[in-house]
Amino acid sequence: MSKEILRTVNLFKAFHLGETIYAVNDVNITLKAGTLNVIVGPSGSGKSTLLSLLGGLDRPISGDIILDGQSYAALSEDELAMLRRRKLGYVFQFFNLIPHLTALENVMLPMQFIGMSHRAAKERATMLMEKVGLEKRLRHLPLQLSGGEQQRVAIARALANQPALVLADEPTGNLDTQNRDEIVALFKQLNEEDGQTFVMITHDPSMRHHAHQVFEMIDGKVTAVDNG
Amino acid sequence: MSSFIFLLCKRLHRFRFPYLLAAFLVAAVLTAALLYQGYVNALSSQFRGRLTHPTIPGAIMARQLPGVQPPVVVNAQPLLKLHIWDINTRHGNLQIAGVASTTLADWPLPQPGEVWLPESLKGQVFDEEVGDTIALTHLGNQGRSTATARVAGYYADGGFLNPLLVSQAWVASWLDEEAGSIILAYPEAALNELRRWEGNNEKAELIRQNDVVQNATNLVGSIYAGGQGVILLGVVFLALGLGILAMLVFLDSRGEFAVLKALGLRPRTVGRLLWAEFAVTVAVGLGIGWVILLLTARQVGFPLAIDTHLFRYGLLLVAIAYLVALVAPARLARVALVNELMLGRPILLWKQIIGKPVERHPAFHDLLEQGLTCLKLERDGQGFRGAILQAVGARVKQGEPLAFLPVWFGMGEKHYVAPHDGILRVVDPGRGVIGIAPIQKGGEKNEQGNTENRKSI
Repeated sequence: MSKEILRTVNLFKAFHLGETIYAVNDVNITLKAGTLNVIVGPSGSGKSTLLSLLGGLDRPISGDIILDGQSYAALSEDELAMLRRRKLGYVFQFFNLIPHLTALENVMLPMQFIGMSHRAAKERATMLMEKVGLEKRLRHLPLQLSGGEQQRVAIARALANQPALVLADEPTGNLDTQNRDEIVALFKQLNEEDGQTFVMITHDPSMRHHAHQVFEMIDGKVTAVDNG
Repeated sequence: MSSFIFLLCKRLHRFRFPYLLAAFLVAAVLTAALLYQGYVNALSSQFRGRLTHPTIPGAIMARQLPGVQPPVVVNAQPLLKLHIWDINTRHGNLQIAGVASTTLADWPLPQPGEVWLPESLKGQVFDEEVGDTIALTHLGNQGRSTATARVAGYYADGGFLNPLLVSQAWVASWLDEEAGSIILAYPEAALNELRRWEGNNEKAELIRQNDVVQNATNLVGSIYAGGQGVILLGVVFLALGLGILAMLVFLDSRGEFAVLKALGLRPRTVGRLLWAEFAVTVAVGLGIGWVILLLTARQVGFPLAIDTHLFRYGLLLVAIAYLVALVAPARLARVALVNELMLGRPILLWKQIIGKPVERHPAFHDLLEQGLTCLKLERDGQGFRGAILQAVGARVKQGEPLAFLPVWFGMGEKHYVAPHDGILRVVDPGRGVIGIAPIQKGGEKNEQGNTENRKSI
């Protein structure tokens, strides 16, 4: 049985918009290493907020997240940044590549943050770019790449530091059908061949089909867990 | 190359236009401020030089207005007298030129028949060499008197007091009257006599050299004071300009900073990026400003007295403007959470944790008597305006958030937390109080569950 990689404990996140709105309401989930996890739910159900909390991009009002034995609640902002640097990878819906860096430099960046030498970072970034099928686009700026290619660069960047967990917020939501299928296949390949753990928000039925766990969210609560 | 330097170079290239603008702003303000300061320095330096050179030690100047008789009561010989003469030089006839006779020790003492010419007019008015002759024609009340004098040399007049100098004894023997002459200086010893003369003559005026120097010093001081005001305005303008540019760069970088933080760049490093980018910009601006300053000084052609001391002063001014301008954007970049940057949510600058219960309060007297721990909520006329996170009956742990109140347009939040483990008995936003009952021995069951009364989207 694979080991637990992440656990949430009574997780709450509220916004005060005239009245208090609970975007995440007492969520308790567990993820296992090497699994592909999918969060589904209607718009406004709190999926992205939950993913942000799991990734340490936002702070809950109460509750805790434990990643690889490390509690988020006990961490300062600096320590949380170090955790993100080493153990987490992100893929955003709108790619969020740094526009003035080339594709290769975007992938190298997280490795430079952990102090990897320029040469080693370049070698690994090139390898990752080959893995996502973009070995001929190393010197291109994000604006010179198609949406599917940008998302592949973002995936390569997320994998740069061999994170324990990769979080993806609707990674195929901004892509056409062909690119969407290719990205889904890439996630599946990375999960099956490399044992990479993923949590992703998606509306893609095929991704749901491949998932080991599916969490369904409604009104900030995880209402159903489908174990594949 | 470290990731910091790498990002710094890339971002400087990306934001080259605003940064170039900022650099020129620094250069312009620095140049303007230092030019002004240099100008004032030069001015005051020359001004002081005019007063003290040539030196008239302990002198008193007696100014006579037209029609006033010379101070005949004064027995002492004047140190310096000025006569209005015509002078024939190689360049031709000069009308209304001053010829002074002097006995001042620091000045050249011409022999009879000699004349000393002012150095400041050499080449402009006088081409005469030593040994040449000059014709002097005195325009007195009795008519014209003419004499010829041999040029004995040029004297350093400081560019201000530039009469021709001749022997007083020679002038006295040659002229039979003193009308039309101006007494420029008397020795201090004649002060009492001069005062009497001044008292008897309403058109006469005595000016002591020390008073003149003092007045000049005050005048220069006031010019400096005005200069400080101008420079202060420059600093405010510079800080404002840099601040706006820094804020624009920050706003344009929100998405990028969000991604960098998501990838693990430390918050303080993000703040330092902005500081460093503007430090480079300011340094470039100082360099440009310094070059412009030197070129302008050379072009203007008179010494602007721009020295290292002055430049250090300029550096200090720019440093103040830089610090004032960068403090807000750099702090925002540092403290903002990734989602606040990425989603454009208000950036929480500070959070106050309130967990200290009130011990006595007339409004909560009844609750306190029931043994409840009371947390006082901040309220206005309509009660507590924040969010209550827990419902009556909820079991809470020490430090667990119970309510929060956004303040300062969402830039700050007050978080009310449970002071100890317990069960919520009273949640009254109208009265502004939360009452918590301590857990009895053996525990007390959560009456409504922790989450049932929470509102969800």
